[in-house]
Amino acid sequence: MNYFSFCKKPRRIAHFSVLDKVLLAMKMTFLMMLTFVIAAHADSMAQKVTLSFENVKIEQIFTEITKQTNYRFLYPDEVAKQASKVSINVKNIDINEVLDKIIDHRVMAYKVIAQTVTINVIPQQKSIIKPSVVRQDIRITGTVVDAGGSPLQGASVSLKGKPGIGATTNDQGQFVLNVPTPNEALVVSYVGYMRQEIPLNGNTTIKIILLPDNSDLDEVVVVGYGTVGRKDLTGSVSSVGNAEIKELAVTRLDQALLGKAAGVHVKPVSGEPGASPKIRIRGIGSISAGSDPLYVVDGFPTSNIDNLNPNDIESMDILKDASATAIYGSRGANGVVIINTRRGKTGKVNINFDTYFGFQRVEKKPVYMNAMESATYSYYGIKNQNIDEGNNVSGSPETWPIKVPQVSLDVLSGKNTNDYEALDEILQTAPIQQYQLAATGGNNTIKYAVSGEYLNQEGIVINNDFKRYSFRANFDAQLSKRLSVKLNLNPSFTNRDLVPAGGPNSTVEDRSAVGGALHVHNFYPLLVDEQGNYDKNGEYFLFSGLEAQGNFPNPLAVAREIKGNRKATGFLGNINAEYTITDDVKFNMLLGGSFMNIKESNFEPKNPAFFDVPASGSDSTSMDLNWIMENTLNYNKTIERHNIQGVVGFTAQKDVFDSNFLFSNQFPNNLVPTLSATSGIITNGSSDKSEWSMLSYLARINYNFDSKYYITASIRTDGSSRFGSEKKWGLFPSTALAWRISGENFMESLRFISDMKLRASFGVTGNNNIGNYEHQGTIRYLKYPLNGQEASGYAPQRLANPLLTWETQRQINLGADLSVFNSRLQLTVDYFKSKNDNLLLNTRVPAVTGFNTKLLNIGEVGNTGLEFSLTSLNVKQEFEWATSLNLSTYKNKVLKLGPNGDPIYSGGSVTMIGQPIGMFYGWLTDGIFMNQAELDQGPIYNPGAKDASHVGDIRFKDITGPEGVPDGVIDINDKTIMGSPYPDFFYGMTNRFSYKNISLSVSLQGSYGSEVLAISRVSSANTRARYRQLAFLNDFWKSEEEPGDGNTPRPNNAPTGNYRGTYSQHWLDNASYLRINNITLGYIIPNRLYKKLNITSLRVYLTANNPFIFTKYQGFNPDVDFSGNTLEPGVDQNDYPTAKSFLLGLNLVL
Amino acid sequence: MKNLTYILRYLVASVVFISCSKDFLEIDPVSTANIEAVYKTDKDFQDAVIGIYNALADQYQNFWQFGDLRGDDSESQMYKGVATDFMNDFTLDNSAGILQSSWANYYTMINRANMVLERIESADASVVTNKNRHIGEAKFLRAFAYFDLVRIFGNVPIVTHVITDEESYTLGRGKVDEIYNEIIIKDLLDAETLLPESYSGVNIGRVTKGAAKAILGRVYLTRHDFTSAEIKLTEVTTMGYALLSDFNKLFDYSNEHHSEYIFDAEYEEGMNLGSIFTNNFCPNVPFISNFFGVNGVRSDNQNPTDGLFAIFADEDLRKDITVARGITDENGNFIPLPSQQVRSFTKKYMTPVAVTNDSKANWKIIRYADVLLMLAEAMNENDKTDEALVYLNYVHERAGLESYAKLTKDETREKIYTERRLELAFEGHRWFDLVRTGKAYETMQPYGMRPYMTIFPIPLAQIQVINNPEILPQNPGYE
Repeated sequence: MNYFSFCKKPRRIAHFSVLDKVLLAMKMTFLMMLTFVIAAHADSMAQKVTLSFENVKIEQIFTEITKQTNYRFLYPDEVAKQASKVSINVKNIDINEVLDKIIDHRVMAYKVIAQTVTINVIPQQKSIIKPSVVRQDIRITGTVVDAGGSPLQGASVSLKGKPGIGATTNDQGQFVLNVPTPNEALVVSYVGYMRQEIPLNGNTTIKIILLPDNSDLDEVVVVGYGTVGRKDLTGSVSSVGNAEIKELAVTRLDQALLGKAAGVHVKPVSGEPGASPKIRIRGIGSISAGSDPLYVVDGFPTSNIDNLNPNDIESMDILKDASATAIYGSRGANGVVIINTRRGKTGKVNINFDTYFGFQRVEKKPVYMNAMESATYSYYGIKNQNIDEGNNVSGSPETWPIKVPQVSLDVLSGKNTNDYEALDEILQTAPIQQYQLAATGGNNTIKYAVSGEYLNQEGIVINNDFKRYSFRANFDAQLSKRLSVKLNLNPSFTNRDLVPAGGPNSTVEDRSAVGGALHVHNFYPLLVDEQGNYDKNGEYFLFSGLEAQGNFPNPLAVAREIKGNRKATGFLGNINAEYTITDDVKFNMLLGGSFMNIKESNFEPKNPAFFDVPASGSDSTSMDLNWIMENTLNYNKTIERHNIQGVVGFTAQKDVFDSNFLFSNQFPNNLVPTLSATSGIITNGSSDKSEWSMLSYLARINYNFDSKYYITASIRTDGSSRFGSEKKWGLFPSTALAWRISGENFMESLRFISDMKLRASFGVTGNNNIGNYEHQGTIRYLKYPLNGQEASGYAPQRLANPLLTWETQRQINLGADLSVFNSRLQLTVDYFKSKNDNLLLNTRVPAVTGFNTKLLNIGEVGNTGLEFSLTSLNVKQEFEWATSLNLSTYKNKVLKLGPNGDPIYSGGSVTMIGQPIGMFYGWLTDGIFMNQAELDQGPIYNPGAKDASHVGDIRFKDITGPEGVPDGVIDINDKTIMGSPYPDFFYGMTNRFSYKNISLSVSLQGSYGSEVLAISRVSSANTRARYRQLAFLNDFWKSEEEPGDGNTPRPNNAPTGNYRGTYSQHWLDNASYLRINNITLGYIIPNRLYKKLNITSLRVYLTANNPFIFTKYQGFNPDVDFSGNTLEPGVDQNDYPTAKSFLLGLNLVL
Repeated sequence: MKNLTYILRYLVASVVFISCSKDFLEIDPVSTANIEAVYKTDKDFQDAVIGIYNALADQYQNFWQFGDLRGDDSESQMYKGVATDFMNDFTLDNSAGILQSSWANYYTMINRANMVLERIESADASVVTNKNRHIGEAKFLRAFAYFDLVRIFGNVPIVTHVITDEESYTLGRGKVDEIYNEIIIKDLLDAETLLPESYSGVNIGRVTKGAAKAILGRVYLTRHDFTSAEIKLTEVTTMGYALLSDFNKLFDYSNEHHSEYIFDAEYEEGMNLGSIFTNNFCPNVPFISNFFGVNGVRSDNQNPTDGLFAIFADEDLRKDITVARGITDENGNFIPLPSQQVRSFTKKYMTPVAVTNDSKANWKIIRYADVLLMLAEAMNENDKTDEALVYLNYVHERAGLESYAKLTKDETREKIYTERRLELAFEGHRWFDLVRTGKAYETMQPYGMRPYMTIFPIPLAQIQVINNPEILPQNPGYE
């Protein structure tokens, strides 16, 4: 797990000067700490203890004090090693007095802050290097840094088995130690980092990289409006740290959550550069109000994290259960992701340069028919159509009344040997690169973290990319003893070149480069010369009026000629002032503003490949301004064994969104893509403004007795402009209980248990994404042409609903945390059950009202789930191996819908009571009719009609009929739930290995049990060869003698037997998958190679993202979700393929 | 403590500042208006009536599927196994989108009309200067919507005021007779008196007195009330309407408000108000679309049947534009359709289109030739065969054909029926004429029609939302 380096040939260094410097630095450090201690105002409410010991180790006394009080002790190893054995016999004596008795003030100093006793060895040369004990024959110098290369000041380095020999690192992370023999081992420890043992093996210069100890129970978790120690947590919170984010080399922050946190379902739905994945925390609790989590960036609640630079992030804490999210009231129901950015640390200036570059390729390609297969399919399709029409097909195809396209015959006869793969023309191996320069540092009064980043990612579909330029400046200033200020500034700019990549491709209006490329028959080239032969510099081949191919735009023209661009300029800034009123009470004021300006332009030239539709262009802009004010009072008090933390607050937030767009198709030519070319003739345009506001009052109290019994209660009330006049304010309470069993005396004997806790919580949260004005009766502007001119008018848009309000979620959570074997194995299990009611439903109302739907708070959905996460340090030797694993499952169930409980049908999906939202709905398939006998048995689609089922057609399952029993006829009555877009479970696993300078991490993630509805098959698997068909149709039924694979129906140019009936099971694919989503191999280059260049550390790494995927799924990406509509999840429509990438990266610390 | 006081003061001040500015949580929409702010002025009502026309225009984009595709003159040669094919071959099921959208469009028209009629009564009459016209238009359009509804669906719910959704669940199906007598005929009679004979400038295209009379004539004819039909249609003949001398000029979409025009669903290019007819009916064959200047999607719909070709005399001036198997280029060469699948098309809606589905071609809801043929039919049924022939011949002779003389009543009836096919093909009449004249089943039975299919199924979504067969039962045969 750690990176460390050896240097075979020690460099000669000026012995005394360096040592002096180190010692001076150590002294300085101590002085600074002392200053802090004085400033921190020691706790006067000391407790009393009774002790009786003879000649014991000092640690034993510390343990006993901890038992009797809730004082904790923090000390480096050498304290224990240097302290002589003590004897003490006191009764009910002040703890400070006891400490004075047992601590040797010549050697050690102690301080008490908030019941934490910190003891340090006074850095005296004699006490560190004892000449009387050590023969100073070997001098070891070294540096201790963190994984990012930042030096760790104050880390303790000691000799294994020789407690007397040790050192503490200076502000540059350096230490000097004299050791007796060259084959000693060093023990390095630092709070918050994993302790390391490093054998010297004769080396005298050494670099030690400490990795954060994620298992550390002292880890602080950021919860809403405050922080809490991991061990004191009562709610369910997952965390993803900076190291994990960096390791993945993700381009967007939310991508880093993939497979990393239990209960957080991340679906990379598109491979487009800059596209956001879909994130669902603990299932789907809303049908129409959106299920995206709330993001809180440095205290600022926002829905947009598009422009954040992942490298700037210190931690992401995902609040999952209602006791954690209820403090965010009407925005908490979908979970809350709290993002904190990196802050400066006291110490020397630390400059990091990080970069990676590499290439991306399509992760997985669907397999389509080649030229010969397409021609064969076309031949049989026409043949079967002729047979169905009663035509004689005994002669050659030329004699058939319905003709086989000539090109198909040419391919079959070998006259046409073209076999081009159109997909290869629009896909590319795409470069990606990122550069980041960051600096941190500071002193007691000002700390800073500043960074600048440039990212350039090209898409694997040609002609699109994503560029981000982002900057961040975080300042922490201690303005006076009582007043401190945090300032965060984050300007950013993204620039995306867009291409119409995905979507349907069945008409000449569609613009889908991927869809088109999948549909082009391989015997047609995309670029041709005047004779119609392939010519890479030729004209676009026109897919228009061809006998063998439907009409659609040339996909290469779509990818090359249509220009789209989106620029987003963002600024997020907030200032947080903290005033310490008394030691226990702090007042916080947060003022923040965010600004996001998006400008998008598009231009489609006039081109024969687009059927000569006039050139058109659009230009749109939007601006979102959001400000927030938060005032909170925090109270923190420990009275004996009672620990109380409280917060009360008041917040106000407002958002103003302005947008406009202009469109024209009056371009005189293709020369100028901007609207300036239209001489001011704008054929469509609009501008809109939309606002919301919110006022909230909140309060929370965390109380624990003796760090054993915990209770948390919170309450928030939100008022929102979005809520109807009758339901303006919502109340969101929560409570949680926890019992830290490991704190009990009776657990004393079970020493292998480091921590053990049971948690239970209940809370109420809301979802306020209900639209800004939906409760108001508004009108809609409409027009109608009169005498050739536009006449404007209007009509009612909807009726007022003063009762319209937020959606409510009630959730209980039961959880257990277990940490054993000195925290080497940690397990967290959570069970939750939630019920969301008042769900906003665009309820179908009888159309006789003049409206099809009405928005009502009427639905109800439940989710239950189980989440497991396990971290384990499997091997902790020179070779280290650590594993983290999480597995989650949730069951979604619709409990109530509309006034009558009617199912909602939406495309190939249905939402009905008792089932999860958006289950796939259609006809079940049951092989094919292999022969006339089977056909006679039925069931038959549309009996008697000319498109009735024939031999060789699909047999559907006869579920029921108009009388409620199977009737031998396939019709609408036989539609049923045919599959699920939800996995039975999803999981993620990361294994990290390290050996000496080398580290390897392998992450995998996957899901099991879901399906995808491939709507794209309406054209790519429809038994007609007018579009290229998927290759799995190759083994089709030809005759009773040649029945094919028994599942693949006969091709037929005039499909019969409901093959094209929407929707049926033969459009469903198994979407279970296992993906190795990241492999990173890192190597720290020994610093002797670059020390001269003033470089502190240099690490290189190789990363493979998504190198392997194991799935039966036919398409590009099993996580696809084309519609984005909650009611139609898991739908494929020629989506932008996901990429695999190979990157080479470098981390440099100056 | 002093500091704490300051902070508390600040807190109280900020709370008071924000929560007491009452507007903070009351935000009215900026980019749309609250309903209560409109339906007040004359202009408001004029604009609200535009809203009704807007729904009419939506509905009439697809009306051809009922009026033409369902009948024997039009077929779907290209599309198999899709909704238009089902409409054509009588396999349309009750979940079809066309049914749901039509039901919704007509009730949207009705609701918008009801809103106008209800609000205009409470509006300040002195402000609403064109009150009669607004009422007349709203009533016409409401009646028109009901007329289509009963012809498509049979018994349908009667809604004559703005209703709540609660009320809508209890609303059963009104009887066709009641709807004709209580709404359609009454509203049209009112509209007839309230509407002006003509408009000028930007109001041209709104419904007129003549349109009300003409549609009323069609209603009476549909009810087999030939006496009333004759009276009403005769009135139309006195209003200055006249046949264009050149039939083909009817389909020159540069001037659509000519002497033969009575009422159209209006569409216009270049402002997102175009119709889909041109693209929809244009063969998907580049040389043909290029010939007519049709850009974008071409959908191969509305293919003339062999049966329709058969009834056209070669010398009929209407033949080439109505039914075609190819084009004749500028050099006089006939170039046939190449495709094996699509064998015919109609040129009635061919006009240059720059952008897909943005054609300037209107849908002719009623034109004077139709009035003349209806009048002929009514007179013939009223035993005025000789006079009927006069009106029939106006239409017949314009097509360059020899006039009819000395025919029996039955012969005349057949000639009129045939003339309607020749004259009005692909204008949304054939199916309704077949049903109206009782010839639907005998004509369409070979195509898959069953006897109950003179009306369509109630859209499944409406059945499901009411979910009570006592209130909204399905039409017989479609259960």
